[in-house]
Amino acid sequence: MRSLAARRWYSLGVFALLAAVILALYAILSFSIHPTSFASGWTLWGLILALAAYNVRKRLTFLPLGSSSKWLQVHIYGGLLSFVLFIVHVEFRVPSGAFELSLTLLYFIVFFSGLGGLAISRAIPARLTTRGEEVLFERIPKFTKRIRDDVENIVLGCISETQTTAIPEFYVEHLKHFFDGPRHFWQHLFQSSRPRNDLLGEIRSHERFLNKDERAAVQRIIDLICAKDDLDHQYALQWTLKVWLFAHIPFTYALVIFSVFHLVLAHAFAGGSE
Amino acid sequence: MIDPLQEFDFLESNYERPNQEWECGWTAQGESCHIGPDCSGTCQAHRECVPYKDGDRYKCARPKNFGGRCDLGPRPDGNCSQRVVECQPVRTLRYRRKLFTFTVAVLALGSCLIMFGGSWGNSLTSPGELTQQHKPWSEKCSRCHTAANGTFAQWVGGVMDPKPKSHDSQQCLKCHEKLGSQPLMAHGMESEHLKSMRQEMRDASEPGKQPFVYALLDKASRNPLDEKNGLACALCHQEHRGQKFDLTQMSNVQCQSCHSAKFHSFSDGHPEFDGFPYQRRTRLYFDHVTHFQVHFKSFERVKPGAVIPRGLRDYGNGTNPSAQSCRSCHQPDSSGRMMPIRGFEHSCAACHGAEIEEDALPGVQLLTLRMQDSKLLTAAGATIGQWPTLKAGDGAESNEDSVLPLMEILLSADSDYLKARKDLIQLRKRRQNGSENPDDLNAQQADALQRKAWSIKRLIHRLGTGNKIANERRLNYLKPIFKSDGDAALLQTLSASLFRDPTFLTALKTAQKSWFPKLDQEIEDLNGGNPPTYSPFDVQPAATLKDSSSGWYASLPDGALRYRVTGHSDRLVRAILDLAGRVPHLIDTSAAKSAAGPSPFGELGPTASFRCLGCHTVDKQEDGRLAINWVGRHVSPDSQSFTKFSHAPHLTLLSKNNCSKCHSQQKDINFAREEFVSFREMFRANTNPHSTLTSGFAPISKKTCTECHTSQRVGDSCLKCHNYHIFK
Repeated sequence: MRSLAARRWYSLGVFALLAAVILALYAILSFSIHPTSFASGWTLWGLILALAAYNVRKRLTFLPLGSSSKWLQVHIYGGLLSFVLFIVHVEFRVPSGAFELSLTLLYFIVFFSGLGGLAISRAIPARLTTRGEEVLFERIPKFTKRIRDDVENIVLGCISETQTTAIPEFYVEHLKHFFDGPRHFWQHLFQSSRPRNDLLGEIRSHERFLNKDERAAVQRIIDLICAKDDLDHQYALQWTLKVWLFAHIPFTYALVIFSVFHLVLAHAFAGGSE
Repeated sequence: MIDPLQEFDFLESNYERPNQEWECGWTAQGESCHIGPDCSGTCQAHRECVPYKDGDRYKCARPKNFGGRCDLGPRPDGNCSQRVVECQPVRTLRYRRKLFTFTVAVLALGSCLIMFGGSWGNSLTSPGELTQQHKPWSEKCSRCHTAANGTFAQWVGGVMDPKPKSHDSQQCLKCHEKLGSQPLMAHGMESEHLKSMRQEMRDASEPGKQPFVYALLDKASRNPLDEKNGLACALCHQEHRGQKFDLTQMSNVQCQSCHSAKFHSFSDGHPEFDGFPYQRRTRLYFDHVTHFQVHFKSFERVKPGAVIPRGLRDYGNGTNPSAQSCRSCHQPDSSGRMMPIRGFEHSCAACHGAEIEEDALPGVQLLTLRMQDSKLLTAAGATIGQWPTLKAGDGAESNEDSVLPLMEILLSADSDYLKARKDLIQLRKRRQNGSENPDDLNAQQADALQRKAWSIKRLIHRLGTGNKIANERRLNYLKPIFKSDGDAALLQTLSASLFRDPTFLTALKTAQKSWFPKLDQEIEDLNGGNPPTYSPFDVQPAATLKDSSSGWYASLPDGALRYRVTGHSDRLVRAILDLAGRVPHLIDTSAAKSAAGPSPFGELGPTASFRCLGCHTVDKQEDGRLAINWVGRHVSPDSQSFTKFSHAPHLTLLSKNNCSKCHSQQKDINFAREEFVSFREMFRANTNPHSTLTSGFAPISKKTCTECHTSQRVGDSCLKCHNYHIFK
């Protein structure tokens, strides 16, 4: 079993070798009067289909088609290789024409969403372990409600125990919105703790006006604010992990459909150059 | 600190099902039930649990993580006493992604079908703008693509069909029609011819010298020469790349992908020029070296009153540097490619004009009565009537067996002459070979000569009567033979001269009166079946008739009807000489194709050889005809060869008068003096255009060009000097 670093170097080496072979073949074949676009186009189309097959592979878990992690590795480096092939196919120029531009746009959406997804799936899992408790994404609303219920119990307790309305008023004015659902999505995504600090700073600025019991209640509320903020952090990151596929998968199918039409069109109108 | 939020034990942890299509509507509020919706999205959680019967009592079945057994317990009828507020189930995130995927795919398919199915789809599916010259057909795909008339199903079928497809190049050729007879073959040439050229180049190239990449490509790529259907235009001319895209662009390596002799660049590896630009003999005999070294330094030799070319006036003493320019005689043509001679009047007439017009030499012959056998005919019992005794001829005209080319044409309308011609040709050949005694005639030969004599008489009689319709019919005979436009023009010129020129009829009637005084009676007797017997008589020169200085005249003692030129570029003489060049081919193909055969021009007399063909060379064409080069090299816009060169940009870049930078004199050659003399004295034209006769300049070497033509300076692209499409 290779280590992760060795495996990564091995994969990168294979990718670099294949990319070099593609570029070298292109350089050699471009010396010929026969266009390279048909050879590169068919290869690219085959590669795109193979990459799209990864989604099918995930559904066919009962078939002995190799481990999913290996498929993912092939998918990642195959995707990077497809970019090399794409550049070679369009011959280092920006395609023109509405249909070809649409096809190019679809390819870029799929490629860059994949690239983004790769970055996300590499960076976010590590960040998920750095703050708060790791929870299942589907349970986050339930935990949010539990925290909100706890906070509201503390606030209601303040009314009955201390006979003052300072904390309830503060809750209604500043905290209720925060506890009602996931908040500060972008700040969590970009690792900003400013909303949390602002909220805590606001509470602490009021702390000196409170009596001892109220301060104890506030301390518990602060704990719950931190728990909720960590939960929001989990929500933001896990939601991102799931949602980038909304760009990658649907547009892959669109790309395959467009590329089939492009293939037929290219052959029909090649004028004999194929 | 608070307690951990998430429990993982069986009783505390709910089983999540994010892969299902629906989830509880209260999930977002964190209050989802443990039952969840059914697969059709209907809430099925009406009560918190389904009590189970234990003995005779119902017991609560609420899970622990949802509060465990309730205090109230089940109702007596076994139903749960805790009602649940029903929800409106919502789609799971996964299913929403699936739905979005399906929507995007349907939209993509719909967009494609609309683009490919709609009549306005051309502009959408077009892969880019056309070049400026093809822009008018931007919306008419079928103009260039035959597939545009097909259906999508046919296009798909085409992709699946492995057979080679006929390409759209025929559509291109509907407009680009001047690309030769085989425009789609490589270079527009016969595949076999090109293969032999390729093999020659391969044999000549040095093994192991070609770049590695090219050698690799040579093995990896298809050979364009093997394409049976030819090469598609679209292989090189890639459209839809914008208005300003250069359709003719081709890289050096693309050229070399097919070529046998592969090399790095023009300066490194390109074959040395082979005698460029003198792969063939010059079209005009002109010795630059002698002219530079001798004639241009001694203009006192020019006849008084002659007009000296403006540029040459001060050449000798060098007082006017611009006068020494080659441009004095050569000027760029309208395209700037060639530097043609400015013409005889401007460049040559000052010294050679008088030679053309001097009347020391006899004119060009149309008719001759020379027939050495006239006396023998009497002995053989032939009857040819009156026949003049001519004085002895000289030079080319002494061959009395010969028939003048134009006379041959005119006689060819006579059925009697046609019957005799085969015997006459055989008789002539035997005598030339020495296998026949000239003083011995058999009956068949005597009959042939008799027929010839009467044919000549009938010709003179008919031409002399001025019967225009009959005469023109003689020329109509030639029309099926002289098919091309140029030939037709020659016939028209000859016809106009013969039948509309009063000097011709005057000369002819004078000749008839002198040679055959009783011709009318003789022809009448002949037609009546009583040919008169042979009666020779001496011809006396007419006292009042002198040889004309120009135009038609009869040389009575010689028995010849002649034409003297009116000046340079005399149309009639040109027509006569051009026709003479075609006659041998028409009369006897095998003889005409023999390079050593006698020149038909010599029989026309010294005027043709001395005056016309002394400067204008003759090229033997593939069909055996002899074509006279009346003008110097000129490039037809309807033809294109492998190599191209344009003087204009070089004149701009180099000093205007510094032509010697490329055209250096070849001072050590004895030019074509020998060939020159051979023609003048032996009347044998060099009809081989690929002989080595040059104009006195050394061939241009590759080094001359590589001084500037490098990739760093003015470029060394193959297409700078070479054309791809070759056609005539």
